[in-house]
Amino acid sequence: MAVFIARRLLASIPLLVLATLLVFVTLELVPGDPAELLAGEDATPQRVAEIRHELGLDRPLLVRYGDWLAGLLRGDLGTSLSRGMPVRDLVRGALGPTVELAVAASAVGMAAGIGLGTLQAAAGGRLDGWISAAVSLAISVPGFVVATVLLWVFAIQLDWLPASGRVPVLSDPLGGLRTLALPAGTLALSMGAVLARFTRGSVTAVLQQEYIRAARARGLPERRILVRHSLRPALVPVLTVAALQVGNLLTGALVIEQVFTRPGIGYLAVTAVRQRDIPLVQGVVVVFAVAYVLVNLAADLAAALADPRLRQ
Amino acid sequence: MERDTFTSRMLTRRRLLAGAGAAMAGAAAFGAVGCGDDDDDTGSTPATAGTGGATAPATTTQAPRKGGTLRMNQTGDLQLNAGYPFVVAPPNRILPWLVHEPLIRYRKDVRNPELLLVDQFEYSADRTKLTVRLKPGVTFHDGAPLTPEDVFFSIDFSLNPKAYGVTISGTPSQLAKAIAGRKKVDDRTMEFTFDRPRWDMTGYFATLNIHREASLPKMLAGEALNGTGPYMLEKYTPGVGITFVPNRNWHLSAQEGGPYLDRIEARIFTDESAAATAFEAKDLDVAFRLPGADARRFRDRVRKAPRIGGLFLGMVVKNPMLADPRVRQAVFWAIDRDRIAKEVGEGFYPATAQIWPEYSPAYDPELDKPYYDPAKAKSLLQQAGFSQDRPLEIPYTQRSEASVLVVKENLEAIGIKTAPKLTETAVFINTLRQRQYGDFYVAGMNFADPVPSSALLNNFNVAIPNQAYQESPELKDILAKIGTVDPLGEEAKELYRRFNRLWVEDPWIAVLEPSGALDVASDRVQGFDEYFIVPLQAPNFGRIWLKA
Repeated sequence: MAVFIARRLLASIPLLVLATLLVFVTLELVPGDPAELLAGEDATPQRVAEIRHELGLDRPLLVRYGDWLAGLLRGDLGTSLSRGMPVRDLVRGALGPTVELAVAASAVGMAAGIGLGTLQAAAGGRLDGWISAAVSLAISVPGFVVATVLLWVFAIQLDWLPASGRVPVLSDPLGGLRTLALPAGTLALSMGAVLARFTRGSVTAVLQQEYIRAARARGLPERRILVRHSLRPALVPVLTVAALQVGNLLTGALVIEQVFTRPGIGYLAVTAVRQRDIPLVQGVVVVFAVAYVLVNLAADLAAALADPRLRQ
Repeated sequence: MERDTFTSRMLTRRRLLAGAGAAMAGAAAFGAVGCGDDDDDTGSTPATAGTGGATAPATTTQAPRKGGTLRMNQTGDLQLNAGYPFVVAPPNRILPWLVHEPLIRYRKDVRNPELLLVDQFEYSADRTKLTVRLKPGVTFHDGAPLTPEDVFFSIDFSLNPKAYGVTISGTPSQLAKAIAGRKKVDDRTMEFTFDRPRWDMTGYFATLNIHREASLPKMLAGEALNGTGPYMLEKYTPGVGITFVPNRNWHLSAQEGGPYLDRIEARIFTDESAAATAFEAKDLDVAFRLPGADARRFRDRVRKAPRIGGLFLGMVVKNPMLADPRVRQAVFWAIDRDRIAKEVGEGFYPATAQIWPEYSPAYDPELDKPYYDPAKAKSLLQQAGFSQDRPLEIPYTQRSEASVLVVKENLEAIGIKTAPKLTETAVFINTLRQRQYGDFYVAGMNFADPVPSSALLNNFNVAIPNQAYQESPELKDILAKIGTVDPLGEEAKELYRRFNRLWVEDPWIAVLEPSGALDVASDRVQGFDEYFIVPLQAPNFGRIWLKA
């Protein structure tokens, strides 16, 4: 298993380099640069050139990227161009709100999705139809629309939950959960719907296997067949989809953190892109890439544990 | 010594103001240097009759109460390493509202600056020398007394930020270069000498926030701010928010009453609509700077800041299709400003063809009209024999989109084909700065400087060279003379009249909508009834208090 993990981690290094290089080059290709934004419309071209020089933006792209990469190896993500603060500190400050959001949304989404999918497969009939319709609706409605509706109902009309902000869950559990409820609920809805659909399909397929028929013929209780003999093999493909969905949560956080003004990584990323703050964008990209790698590794490990054949 | 024409009238006004309410801290750096994001302050939010007084719902007649936490929005993260406090980018404007103060400031009447940190501000008869005396007993938030050295440092910093390791947004202050000499007379008194007779230095000193050199490193690191204003920074959490606590030693407390609040929590929002939703959900007591479409939802809660400029359609004069003044006049008369004011600005500010705020000495009431006459526009176009071999481009940024669509419709109605082109902000600014637009362009302009000559001579849209390539002999003559005359004198008035006539007769800029600022406040918030002109559109936080 250790070799398996080491191999996966090593394979992720080129991925990280490629992702950051791609972002570096893309930001370079987009017209306009931070110096122009900083200089304002009244500045002379000379002043823009001065600012560009002061920020080191007049050096070749690969030199800048090399310096950044060398800094990364030392744990230094550079300094934010727009805020003048270490990127590491800004990213660290934004991690907490996003981790809370991702954990809460994943927990709710996975529990609801796997539970509902299993229920659909087991119950069939009209209940299956109703849940399938609800799942289709949840998948087809974009997250920002769900967020807006939830905001309008629970924050504005009912005044039950705050519309924005974040209270750390560890320092104030109740306050934290209140600020988490709407954004996590929004993200969990689409994740849960996707997982419900996959779980239903996977469990239904397993339930049609010969060994399940044999178990039924031996008179095992239906609940035991479902929980002990069907779910475990059915969840192997679902775990892979769940890992992808957790990755999608990070992308979803870009929008949802904006809507709920939650000061997480997604919120930071959007601000950094708007301000052409390349070091900050790069810092956020590293976090996203590492998170993807770790989540996928975790999914692979879970799948390998569930099905030993996958370890090879 | 002759007292400044502004200052001499000041004392009477100060007596009137004594006991009238609290005052506010700081100064914004408009006019002094370019701002980081002008879009924010001169964007699409239209404006009205700005007089410095907030257009506000009636507030209670109860006596102000001390205590409570005011929850408000903050637009974006602070930018403390880009030249603040002498460059006030929009995300930093909260700081001169609360923390930092200049030597003088302007309330409603720009003819009479209020002495803030000084009790003497006098020019010599020939306007080449200025004597300034600090008020006794003014201290910074850290307890250090305000000294002439702090003023000198603030000037030096504004002049040469690089010397202090700061890369600023915009261009270092040009007006600071006018100070040819300075002398500390005693612990409170300073004398400044200028390179030539100067009428524009009052505006400079009104925007120069005073800062201590010893506090600079902590400010640049975002760890501490040290000003003289009514509120002190308690904590700044990047990306999250800023909290302030009252300065119980504020030098204006006895005169003004405040600061009343126990605490101010400014939460960072990068999106105004999200701030509007948070206000609607009662997460905020005040939401500042909302777009008209969001402010509309809280119409009876809106406070309107004085307008400071506007959004305009620039016309490139060197373009042969636009060279004839009659074609540009036609464009001027073709724009339905009433429709823009109602549809885009949600009717908060009336239509106008003027860029000057009402408080400006150059303000012309005749220009505060829609000037919409499509028949006249068509006729002018025919007289000029206008023809085009291609649609004329109108580059613009996202914020101007709604107004640009109206302009396109208006111009096509008189026979001018256009091609609006949505442009990314950095690209737009860069192209504009390099004077590379060839037909039209839509941009914002800040004309809020209390001294009109400063507004004209420092404005890239008007000064020569400008983006529109307008270099008519008349404009040249006006600009050559305007910096040398008393901004309140008869000669200046005649120059303002000539300039405003150009606006209609030989236009290179057609105003689309004025820019103000729309703030909304809940019922809890009291005393929110005044805006300063300098600091730029700052609410008077010294007066704001919360109902129990």
